[in-house]
Amino acid sequence: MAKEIIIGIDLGTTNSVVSYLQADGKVKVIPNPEGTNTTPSVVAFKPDGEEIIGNAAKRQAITNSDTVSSIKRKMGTTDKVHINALKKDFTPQEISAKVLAYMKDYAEKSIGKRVSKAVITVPAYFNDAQRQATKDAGKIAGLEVARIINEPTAAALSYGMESKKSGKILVFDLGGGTFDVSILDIGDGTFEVISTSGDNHLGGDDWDKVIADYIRAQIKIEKGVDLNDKMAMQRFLDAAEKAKIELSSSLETTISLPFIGMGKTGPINYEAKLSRAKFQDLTKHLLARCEIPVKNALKDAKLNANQIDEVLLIGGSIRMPAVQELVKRLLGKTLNLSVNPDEAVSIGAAIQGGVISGDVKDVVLLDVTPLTLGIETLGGVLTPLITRNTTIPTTKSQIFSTAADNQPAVDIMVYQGERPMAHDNKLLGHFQLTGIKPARRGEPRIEVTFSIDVNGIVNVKAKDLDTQKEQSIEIKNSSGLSKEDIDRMVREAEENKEADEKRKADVELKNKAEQYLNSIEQSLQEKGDKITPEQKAQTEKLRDELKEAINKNDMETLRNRINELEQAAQMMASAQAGNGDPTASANPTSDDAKPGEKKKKDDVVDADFTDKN
Amino acid sequence: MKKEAKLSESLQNEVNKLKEEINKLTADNNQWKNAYYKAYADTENLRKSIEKDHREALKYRAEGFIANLLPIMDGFHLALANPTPSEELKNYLVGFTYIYNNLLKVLEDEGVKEISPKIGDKYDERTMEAIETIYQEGEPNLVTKVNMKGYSLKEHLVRPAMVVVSTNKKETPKENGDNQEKQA
Repeated sequence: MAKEIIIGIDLGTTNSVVSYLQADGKVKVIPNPEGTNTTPSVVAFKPDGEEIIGNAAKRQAITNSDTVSSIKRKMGTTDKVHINALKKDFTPQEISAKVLAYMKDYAEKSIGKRVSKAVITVPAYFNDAQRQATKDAGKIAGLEVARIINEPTAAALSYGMESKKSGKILVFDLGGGTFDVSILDIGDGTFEVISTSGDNHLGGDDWDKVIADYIRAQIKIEKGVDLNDKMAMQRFLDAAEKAKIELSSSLETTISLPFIGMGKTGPINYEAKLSRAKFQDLTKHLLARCEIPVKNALKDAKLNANQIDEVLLIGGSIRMPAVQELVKRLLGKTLNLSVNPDEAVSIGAAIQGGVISGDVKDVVLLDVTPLTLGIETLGGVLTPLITRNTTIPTTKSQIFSTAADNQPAVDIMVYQGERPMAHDNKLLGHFQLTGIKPARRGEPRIEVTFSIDVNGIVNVKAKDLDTQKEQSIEIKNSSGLSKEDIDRMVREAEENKEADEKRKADVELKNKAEQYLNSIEQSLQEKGDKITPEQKAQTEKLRDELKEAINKNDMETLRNRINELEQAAQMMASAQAGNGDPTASANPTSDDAKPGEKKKKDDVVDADFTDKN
Repeated sequence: MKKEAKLSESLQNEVNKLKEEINKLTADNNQWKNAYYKAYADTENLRKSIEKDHREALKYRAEGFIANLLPIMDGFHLALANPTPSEELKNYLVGFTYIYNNLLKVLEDEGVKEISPKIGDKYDERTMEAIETIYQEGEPNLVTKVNMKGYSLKEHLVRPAMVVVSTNKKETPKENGDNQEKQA
């Protein structure tokens, strides 16, 4: 079954963008029905109750007082917007919901599937009320908000920063109407915002306005006419924006405005060249306004420019070379510009959506167990129940048994770590399950269940399946380890891998030998009089050899004897069933066995004589 | 008898174990089958979606180019809208009108449609951008002036027509945000 799609939405002050992670792992930005990737965050109501959203709403704004734009600035407040046509008040979240619902609708049409979940971005400085309001807007729009993430974090995700081990990232976001600077601390897939700064009313539109005013002033000087009609002003702004865009890639552009107005001697035509140098000179006061927030963000984060590892530029206005040069000068870094700056935030949200739905696997999220959890079993081996990097919440059970005949209790020792031998790991806690009915070793069935809830609290329960008696322990500080501790534990496991594995193999071999020894003893006791004296002597010899090898830790001899034994057992099993008792529990009592060392049920089966390995 | 019982018990164990093995293998097999079909379906869906994108891209391949041509069309409109008493100039303008018509024909062949509202038409936000409102007795929301024509390419609006719209309210529209400030 295909995974559920979680769309990523950049819910902006002026424009919004929606995208999703495709099956090939690439993010696709979804164009609106008019064919543009960005949708104005504008909602309008007509007297007949019809709602208009996006480009069309923006186009009619001036004719309709029931047009709401930049509602994002009011999110989290109790301000309401009164809509005259409907004689009704709307909360900011209700207005935002209409933008979200519109985007959800065209996203569904484009994807061809129902969409019910989204990741929505908010500015890093948004407080809880503003975040909650954004979440509520999603809910009203029929979207379950899988997560609210910070815009700079989304930008960092779009640049693949989650794979970076650690570092400080400065995100410089200069959009159409707002400017935000954020400094992130990144480590092992987690992002922490350490400072934010910005200018709520600075953006690319300000540059356009300066150039439009300049054109108007030039015409006044050259032609002696001050053109201030709406139509001329609109053409100035359009020409200014075009010039700004062209000057991002060339050093000079031509502003051409034929028939811009009527003068005493007929039509007024204006044409002039504008160099990049002149453009930058005219707008240098705006550039200066970009400088302060960067410095403030660094100051608040208590960092120097050279402590910043990476600089990400997002927002359409960062295409201006002067802006890029400014950032380079301030931070002394080469700039990362590989992602479309208008779409980076939405793309990052879509990647986060993919992570949540499980489509992106190589991102380590916070909600996984950092280390393996397990219990100590026979011979001091750590038997893992929940392996590291398992996404939580999760539950896992396994059935264990006793290690000795008539063992009345088992000790459950809970360890955390990657080393195969329990004692090399961190002991998280322990408890005892008592009242086990007298039985042969390996017969009681004790179900051990590990569960980790969403908060990382570990609950370990042991249940005697025969008596239904159970005992449990709750461990709250399992994630109390620092990142360094976790890294160290994982590293140590790597470094000691070979030695640890040998130790584990030795222990397992010894366990096996002890199991055989036990079975031999049992067989001799029960059926010693039914076999020939030669057979008996031979078996006793084998028993003594095994005992000696175990005591001397002579692994070589043990291995050889066990091989011989297994071959013999196979032969006996195929010849006749009388010599070894297949139903006899074959669990050994090891010399150093503490009460309650356990065996996996699987191993119990392994120990049967009739069993082939 | 005892031996046989033990043998059959041992066989039963073996059967149970094999059954378990079969269950495990069947589950494994289902999982692989699922993963295989999913990968195949993903590729198929991706191919369809890429094909769709490709068709769209082809359909609108000229959109950017057409958008760049619009200021030239505007220039013609503005130039040709100027009345002149001079017969000689009039002849020039007739020639320019023919050039303009040829250009328009080329655009229409490519799928471009002109959006040319008339004075008194009902304002339609789907194809028109209101850049100014003007107080006028009677019915509001009518086009009172067309500053620039609009253009669409197939289902896409390349540029809305820029129009002035009538209003029957004397006060200026209330401003809910700063979007309107910027347009003003």
